[in-house]
Amino acid sequence: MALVADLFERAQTSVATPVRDSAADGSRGPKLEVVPRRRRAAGFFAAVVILAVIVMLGAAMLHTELAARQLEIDRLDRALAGQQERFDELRAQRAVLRSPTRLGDYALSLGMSPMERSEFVSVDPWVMARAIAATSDALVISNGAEMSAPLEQFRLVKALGGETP
Amino acid sequence: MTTRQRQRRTRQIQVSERATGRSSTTARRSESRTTRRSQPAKRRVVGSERKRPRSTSAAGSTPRIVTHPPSPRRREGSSRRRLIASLVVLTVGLLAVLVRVGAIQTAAMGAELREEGARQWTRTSTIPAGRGTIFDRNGEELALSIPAATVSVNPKLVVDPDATLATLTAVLDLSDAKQQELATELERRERGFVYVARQVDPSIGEQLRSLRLSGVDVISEDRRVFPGGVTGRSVIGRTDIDGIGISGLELQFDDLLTGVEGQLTREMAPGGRSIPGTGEVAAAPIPGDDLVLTLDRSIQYACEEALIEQVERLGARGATCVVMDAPTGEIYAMASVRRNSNNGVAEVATGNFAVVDADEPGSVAKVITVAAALDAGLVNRTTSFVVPWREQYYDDLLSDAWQHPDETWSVEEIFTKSSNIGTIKIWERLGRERHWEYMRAFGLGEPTALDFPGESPGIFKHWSDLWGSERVTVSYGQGLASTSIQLAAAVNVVANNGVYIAPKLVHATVDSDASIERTAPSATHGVISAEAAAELTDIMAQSVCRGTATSAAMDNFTVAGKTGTGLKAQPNGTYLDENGMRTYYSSFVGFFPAEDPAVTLLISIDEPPATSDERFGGTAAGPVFARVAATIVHELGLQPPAETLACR
Repeated sequence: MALVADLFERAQTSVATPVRDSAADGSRGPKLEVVPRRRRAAGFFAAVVILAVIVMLGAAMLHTELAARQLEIDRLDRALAGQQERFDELRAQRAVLRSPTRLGDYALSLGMSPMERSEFVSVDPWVMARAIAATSDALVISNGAEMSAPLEQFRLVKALGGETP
Repeated sequence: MTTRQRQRRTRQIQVSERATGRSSTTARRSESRTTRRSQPAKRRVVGSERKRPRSTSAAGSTPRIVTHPPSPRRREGSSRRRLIASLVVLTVGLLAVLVRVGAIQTAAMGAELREEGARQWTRTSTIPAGRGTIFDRNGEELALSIPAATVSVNPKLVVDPDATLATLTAVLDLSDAKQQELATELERRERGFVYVARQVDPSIGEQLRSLRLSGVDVISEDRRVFPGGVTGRSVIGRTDIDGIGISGLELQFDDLLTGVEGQLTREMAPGGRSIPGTGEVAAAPIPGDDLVLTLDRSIQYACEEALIEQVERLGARGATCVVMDAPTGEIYAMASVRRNSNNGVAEVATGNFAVVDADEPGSVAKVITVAAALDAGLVNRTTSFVVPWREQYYDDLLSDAWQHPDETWSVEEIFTKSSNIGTIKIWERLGRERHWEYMRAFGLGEPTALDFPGESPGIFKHWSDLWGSERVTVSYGQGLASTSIQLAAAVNVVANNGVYIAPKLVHATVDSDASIERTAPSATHGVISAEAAAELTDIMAQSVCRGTATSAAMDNFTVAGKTGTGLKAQPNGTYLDENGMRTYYSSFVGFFPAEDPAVTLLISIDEPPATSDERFGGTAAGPVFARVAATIVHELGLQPPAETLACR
């Protein structure tokens, strides 16, 4: 709008001045004279351009920073996906190693055979109590191992994966 | 100006007015302005008028035509008006643009335009969702998806077809047929996409990716694997190469396992290449839920191994095994073994025949007949009947499996000896309609709650639709057909204090947020009284102690069970095949410990050798029962009860 107002003002000036001068001089032709150029608009225009350039440079820097961060996020995402894939591969390998099929075949290759019958023996409670007391650490480890059963490990990783945005 | 001059001037104005058509008022105003402001112009006008030739007038006067050249002042006004008009037009235009921009930015139309714009410089691709894992009841993986690589080629982009083919063949070890097919495609260069190998090892895919072969593409794709090999495959089923369930639980729970695909949006450069770093996950993929089954992988394996061995030993056609937790109906194992029609080797079947195949249960159905009679109070274990070895019923002469004189047997003896005629005597007290209702309550004639794909409801006619001797043979298991799972669930009613509990295969699901959702307990309904169940349990235990099922007896545990030797109906509508031979379907169903039942176990042998003594349930299925039961005791940590039912 400022530019428009400036143009309007300049138009008024350029039209009115010669007439007034002509009337004053009383001459027959229009008298032309050089109108001094207005510097205010040019200065304003230059300021706007500089401001625009600064804003554009700032925006470019911001976008560059965003892109760099995005690249880092992408790298982390790829690493996460890679670790997830590795986890799946490892648990597949573990599942194969723990499968009854493999264990059975391996046992047979070692010369073992399926049991023919089971024997149940009565254990003196005192002997049982002493055994528990003597192997308490082992029981703790056993419980810990139970906690890290395949399903629990899987759930833990799945929960962590679900938290990633 | 004198009066004469003023009059002449007035006439000039009038003439000028007539010539130009302007009103006198306007003319006067114009004249006045001219007079006041433009004296030089006026003088020029008069001067010029004098030089013009005079013209005649109708009124006798001497009118003169006067022209007024545009004065500088008028030009000045005109320019100003044009400027103002331009300003107004520009302002209005600018305002219109601003209003339009505002409307686009705020109204719904703007969203559409933004989407349209984004569509032109972005591309959206799907992110596959991982398929859920299937676990057994102990958390061991039965089926899971692992990363793999799929190699494809775009023949139009291949620069050197021969070298590309040679490289792919070397890395992927392509078969001759595949090489030929690929060579043809590379030569034709018609198609833009051809699969070379799907779901290969990721390391192989990485090798190919590093070679950067023109026209060769390597993408990641999950592959379904079964770590236990064939263990449980009858139940688990399988997926096709696209990861879609096509049989078994993979099919039944396909929607649950599949998950929801995500969306990845990338900004595209003019050349069609994606701009690095612009990828944005518009919608994150939601992995499929995981299934935790009631199956125990070890028990499943033990069942399958025992069945395979027995089928091989007997030369039978196949076998099934169902292991059920008596109080909850949870299935520990459900195995199906079939002899391969190509090589004759017994192997774990791809179909779940324990659920989809229905055969005559044979004498196992006597459990239901006797249970119904006990529950109805029509008999007790000591109620006696005179039992001939054969008797005419309708159009058939029905008989026991062995010849004996007419004898007075108690219900317990009829059961332990598995007398057909004696069972008919018990059934006659019960009546057709009531017997039919009990059979339905035991779960026959309709699919179980498993809702397994292809599950058979069996064949069980309404009592009013039975014809001829069928009306009585249903009492001992002929004239109807049931699946193995139906039969196991029916006998489990006795083990579960007379309450039917629907079999169950899924213990829990693991949601996408890793929380475990346990499935609802199985539906139950009362069938017989607890007293009747206890009495029948004792009778069934005697059947194993000294009846037809001694081969199913276990060390340290009392087994209650019943043998069954059904005849298989042939396509010709009889029980005799084209060679005039009968074919058998032999079973043993029992539960243990009989004192406090924990497990119900069914073993069925399909088509044991017809001429061998091992065609009966007691000889074909009983030993397998004992063997599998021993493993179950070990796997479940069962201990013998303090007090055991004694054999009488």
